[in-house]
Amino acid sequence: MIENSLYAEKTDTEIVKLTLENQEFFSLLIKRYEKKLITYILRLTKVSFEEAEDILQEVFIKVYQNLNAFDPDLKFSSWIYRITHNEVISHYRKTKARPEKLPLETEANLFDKLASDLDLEKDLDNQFLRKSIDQVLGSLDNNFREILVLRFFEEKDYREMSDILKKPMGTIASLVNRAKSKFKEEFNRQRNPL
Amino acid sequence: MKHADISQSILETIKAKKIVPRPRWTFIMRNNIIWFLSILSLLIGSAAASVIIFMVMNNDWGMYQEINDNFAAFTLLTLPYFWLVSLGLFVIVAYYNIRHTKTGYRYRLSIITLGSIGLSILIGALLYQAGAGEAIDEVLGARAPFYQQIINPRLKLWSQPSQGRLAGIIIKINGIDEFTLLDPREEAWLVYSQEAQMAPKILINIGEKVMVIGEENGDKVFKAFRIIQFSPPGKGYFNERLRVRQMHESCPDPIHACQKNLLMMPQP
Repeated sequence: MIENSLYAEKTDTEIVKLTLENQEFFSLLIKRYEKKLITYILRLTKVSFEEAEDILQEVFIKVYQNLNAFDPDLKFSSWIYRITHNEVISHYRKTKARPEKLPLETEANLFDKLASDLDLEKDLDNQFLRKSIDQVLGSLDNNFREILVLRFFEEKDYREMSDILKKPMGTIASLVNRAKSKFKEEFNRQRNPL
Repeated sequence: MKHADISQSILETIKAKKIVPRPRWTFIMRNNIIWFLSILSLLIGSAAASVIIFMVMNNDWGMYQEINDNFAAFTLLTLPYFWLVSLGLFVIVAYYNIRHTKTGYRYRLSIITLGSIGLSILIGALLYQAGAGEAIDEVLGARAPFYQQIINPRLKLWSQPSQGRLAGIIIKINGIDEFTLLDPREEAWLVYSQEAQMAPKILINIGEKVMVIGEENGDKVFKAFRIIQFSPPGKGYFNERLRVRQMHESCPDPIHACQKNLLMMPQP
């Protein structure tokens, strides 16, 4: 087993090169990304943790099989997120599993960031606000939800989102704006049902 | 499964299933194929554009009133829709292929589409200058079964003797002011040209393609008031019909000998 600490300074691209020479180095990439990706998977789907791990395993196998396709001009994180996104979509189509709420371990500051960006009501109790955001996100269309998750919870910039979703940056910007509008509309509707 | 076990589990699965990274050449080949298909689509689109330019440049603009008093209506009637749809289809194919290249997804639909159309028209214009538009039209005119009905609607517009319009290829000279014309529907018309105004440089010879403005004067008889040279789109169509007709007329054994001679008959 490769010792993680010895290669902490290595970039993802360097580890990809090492992996292509020696399979054991792949464990370094897995360790770097397993937590982020499983959280991402859980944010997009309604699966159990065990199912998410199964999806994660499929993702890493696909990553390994396609390592020679990785283009160093692209960020490795964007590339691996893209494969994860595709795998989640594929799983969603098979099971129609829709997320209802975000995983509990989502950091509070990420909720704050979304609330602040959308200028949501600040007089609400944090816990209540978080619950409301959860509910609204769960009720959104999959495409809008995914955009907001990538932007506010995975903290990806537009270029990264463009590379992950394989859409032009202009389209990403439009989708983010539309997703935010939809979110706000739904948030206000849920807060003021009449 | 604990977090610590995931990497080990994945590596074990990779080893157990003997999974190896796909060779780099497969991805290079895939990218090259996609680019090849993109370029091919663009070239075919350009060929369509060259025929569009050829047909538009040789349309009956100066005589539109013989077909329709309204210029806009005439334009709509004579646009080369088949080629416009073909160009559209190949632009879509080119867009799909470009979108699936390594970085193609970064460009908006409008940029790729307009770029493909622009490039097709530019290359199409060059191909038109080189005579490709005319050559393609000639080959299709001779070979395509639906040429008159779909590819070149102009032929149908000029095959309306009840409206005073007839076009075709001269297949026989009957006398000084009489000739037989084979129209696009392969019907032979006896044309009287005694009172006809002839366009400059027009020759009434077998194989000449002409447009005749006049009136019907009996069953398959047409009295000409004006005779004009038939502009190129459709040349191949008429040439082929004349060739087949001449071949059948010269062949006593209609099926076997005609088929043998098919390739030996000279083109008019």
